[in-house]
Formats: sequence, structure tokens, C-alpha cells
Amino acid sequence: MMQKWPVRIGRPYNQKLPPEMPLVTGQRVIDTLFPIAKGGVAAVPGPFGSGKTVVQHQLAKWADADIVVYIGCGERGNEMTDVLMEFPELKDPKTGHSLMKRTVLIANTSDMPVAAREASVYTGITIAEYFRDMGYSVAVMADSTSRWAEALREMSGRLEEMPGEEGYPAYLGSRIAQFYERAGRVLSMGTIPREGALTAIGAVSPPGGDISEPVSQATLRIVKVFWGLDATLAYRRHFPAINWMTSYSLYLDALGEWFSESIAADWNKLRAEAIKILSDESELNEIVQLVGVDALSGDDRVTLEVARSIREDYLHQNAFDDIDTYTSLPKQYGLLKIILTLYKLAQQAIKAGVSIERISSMRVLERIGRAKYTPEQDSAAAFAQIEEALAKEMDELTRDNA
Amino acid sequence: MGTIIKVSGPLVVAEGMKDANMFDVVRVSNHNLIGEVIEMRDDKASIQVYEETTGLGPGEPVTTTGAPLSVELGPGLIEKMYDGIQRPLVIMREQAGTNITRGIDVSALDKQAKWEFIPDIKAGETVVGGDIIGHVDETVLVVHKIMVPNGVSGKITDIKSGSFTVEETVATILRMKEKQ
Repeated sequence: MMQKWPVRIGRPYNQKLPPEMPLVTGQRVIDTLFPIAKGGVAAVPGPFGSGKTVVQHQLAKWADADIVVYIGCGERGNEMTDVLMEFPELKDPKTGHSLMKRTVLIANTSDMPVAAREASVYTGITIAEYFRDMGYSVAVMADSTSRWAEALREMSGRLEEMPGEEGYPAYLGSRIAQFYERAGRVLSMGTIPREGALTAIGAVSPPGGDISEPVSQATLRIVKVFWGLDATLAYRRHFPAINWMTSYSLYLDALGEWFSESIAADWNKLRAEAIKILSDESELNEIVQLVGVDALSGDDRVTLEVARSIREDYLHQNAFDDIDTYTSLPKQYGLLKIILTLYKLAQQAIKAGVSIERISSMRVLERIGRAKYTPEQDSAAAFAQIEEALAKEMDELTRDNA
Repeated sequence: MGTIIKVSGPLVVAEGMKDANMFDVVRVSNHNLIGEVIEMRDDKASIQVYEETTGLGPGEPVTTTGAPLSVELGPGLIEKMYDGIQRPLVIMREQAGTNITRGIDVSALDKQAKWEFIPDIKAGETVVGGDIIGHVDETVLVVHKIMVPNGVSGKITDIKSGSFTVEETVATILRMKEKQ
């Protein structure tokens, strides 16, 4: 029943298909703002302490893949222990069984021989390809590809090869590309081809958080999703510390159709609106730093207030809260809808002459802030109530004013 | 069989390695350390060794296995924790204690474990590489599909059902090599 396969050669497939379905991760900032496709490739770069490993763990836990291969490559041993301790106890949200029952772990922690680190990513992705060939959706997490590149550098130095940038071997870029190119959505070999997908997500640890270094740059040339972790966000306790201004996903166009068909027709519109508010906020913040918040028009102050709500009530997600750790797409949609309804109504109220102070001290805002902690099954009803309360309170404000 | 002439951390250079090829897995020194050829010059091979090289010195033997670094793929992968070259860490601990010992030879898949193989096709059918011939319920979440290895095709002459280890033959394919 057993097969052997050389790790450095990708397993063959019949045909590569374009990605069209998202890998649902239950992480709001990822699914809503920067989604990754099944069969896609993503990089999570960030300075240390910004939560790369927590993001990787969250994805390994909650991504809707059939099989997860987690490669702990040159990182701390106790992070691997965390995985070993936590995974057996965690339940898959869909099936209710232990997450360990679908996971393969490859461990080469920082104290293990450095040459085996070079091999570990190939071992992991070959196992993943094998399951992909069965027709499964497989996710590979590599934490961290920088340590792997450092292993390449160490071997290259000892071989007395001509060093390239920062001492990395000249073939660093092609090796990284070889790894990520083994991801994809494919039709397998065989008389009746099966559709399988291999999604690769690699953490990158640039020294000092400066992504102009070779490993980050070589990775960015290949990956289509970039979740840039930000030390200042992490310092402000905003987790996951994915910076919404620098991150991007090139799968938005390919996935847009799926989202509008499967979740809600206006999903893409809401997403664009949320991004717009966040980018307006960063522009406004520059003005605020110069002339103070009082100099802004009521409209702009509504934007700031709603952007705060998107950041704190939506993007911020507590990985250690039983309910908040995973949010289904319909719940994400409901939550975002409430916040954007608040935006619309608040803009109308400002036009009608209501003061911004009264809007930002609305009682319903507190309920919006807590909405993400609503259990999955009650969320639809609870969100409808909040929306009703929001409309009612806004109505009262406007009438008081008139 | 070659001889070590230089050791530099995880890199070992050996001469007399004419039979070895690029990316062959080799066994280094009497400790039987696992290594891989990453550079060939004349009969000198540079080998990256996947284990600690403390105590190695020039003059020790190196033998090539002639096979590239491979992984074993079959039922028993799920829930396992492997090191970088697919050695199961839990079994290594049982054999050698909590610290990783060198030169330890453990197989990636449990060769004793029995899996219930359920065939999905009948004898007499023609298959090509990648076709599913049966499945094993590996865990509650994963149905492990048994595929014809790539490059093998032909007619199934015999297919069994029941309990097997990963090394036992569950089906025989005529024309090319048999399927394990």
C-alpha cells in the first residue's frame, strides 16, 4: 500500500487550474480583506513578537482544509509543543473531531541539525502533494522560511560558493520559487482526474522587520497574498497584527464571484467600502496630527469613528477566546454589514445636524463592540436586533435634533 | 565506498565516490549518519549530513545508497510528528530516549500496524498511474485513498480486501511492476 517519492521532485499532475474558491480561515481580517484562494500561496512576514506563529497556528487550526501539514522549521521548540498540546484538544468546527486527526507535523526546531532543516520543507510539501493527489484540499504552513533560507546560507558558505546578497546563495530565489510553485489547484493523474488543491503559507522573519532583505523580496516575487504583520499594531495589542494598509491579496478578482454567489451579492461592495474607510482614516490621521481632531468636518469625524469601529470591533480578533477565535463567513458578513450601516446612518444624521459627540456616545455602539462574541448559531438573530436598535437610536437622535 | 577527507559542521567531503550521483542519500561514518550528496567534483562528493557530525574525522567510510532522499507515503501519516527527513520523533524517543541519538534507523510509517483495506475496483480492470484502487479509513476525518504509483499501468490481476500492513501487497498489476 506504500509508495516512495523523492522529496525534491514535485509529484506529477494532469493539469493546473486557476484558483476560484477561497480557503476560509475564520479570521476576519484575512477572509474579508485579504482572502487566500484554495491552491494559493501566501507569505506572512513580520518582525519578531508580531504574532507570525499565532497567525500560522490560527490558520492551521481553522482553515477549511481537509489535511494540514505544519512544518515547524527552525523556530522555538516550545512553539511546536504548543501545537502538540493544543491540537488534540481542539475540535474541528465542521466535524467536531480533534484537529490532530487531519494534521501531519514536521518538526525541525532551532536546536536540531541545520541540514535537516533544508530538507524539512521538501518533506512536508511532498506529503502534502500526496494527499492533494487523493483529491483533498491541503494546506501547508511553513514557519519560518527565513530559518530555512539561513540553513541554505550556512550550507552554501561551507561549500565555499560565491555568496549573493547578504551572504545568501545566488540560487536563493529559485529555491524559494521551487517550493511555492508546488502549490496550486490541480487535476490529478489517473483515468478519472480528481480535483485537489495545495495551499502554501510561509512565514518570513525578516531581521528587524525590514522586508527589503533578500528572503522577503524573493518570497514577495512569487506569493500572491501578503499579510504584513506590524510591530506597532502588535504593540498596541491589535491582534492579528496584519497591517491593512500594506497587506494585499491578488486573488480578489478571482474570488469575488464566489463571494457574491455564495455569501452575499454585496460582499465585494462592503469589502471595498471598508477598505475605503480605513484608507481615509490613515489620511485623516495625518491631518489630525497637524491641526487636531476638532478641525475636522462632521463627515470626516464619522469616518474616524466608523474606522475605529472596523478596527476594534471587526479586524481585532481574539485568538484565545472560544467564540471569537473563529468567525464563519455569514457571521463576518453580518458583522461588517452592521458597522457599515452605522456609517451610512451616521452620515445621514450628521447631515441632519446631529453632533458627532452624540453619535459617538450612542448606547448601541457598545453592543456593536460586543457583537463579535455572539455565538455562531445566535448571531443572525442577535445581529438583526442590533441593527434594529441602531436604526431606532439614530432615528431618535435625528428627531431630537429636529 | 568512499572516505571522508574533510568535515565542516554539517558538511562532509568524501573522496572515492565515483558511484554516487547528485542528491543520492549516503551513509556517513560508522555512526551510519544520513546524508545527501549536494555537489560532485571528480570523485569527491560534498555531502550535507542531516545529523550531528561531532566526533567525525577524515578516514571514515561513506557509502551511497544509490537512491534519492524520499518520503514514504501511505496510511499512518496523519497525526504523526516527523523530523526534517521523515523520521517519527515519538518512536525515536521510545527507542533512544528524549535526546535525539545519531544514526538511528526508524521507518517513517509503522510497518507493523494493520490497516483495513477496502478495494474500490475489481480484478480485470485496467488502471493507470494515479488511479484509486481502494481506500483505508485512516482517522475519523481522513479516508486514505490508495493510488496506483505514478508510472505504473496495466491490468489488475488480483486485488484483495482485509487487514494489511503498509508493506503487504494489496493488488497486482500485470504488465508493469506490481503494486505494493
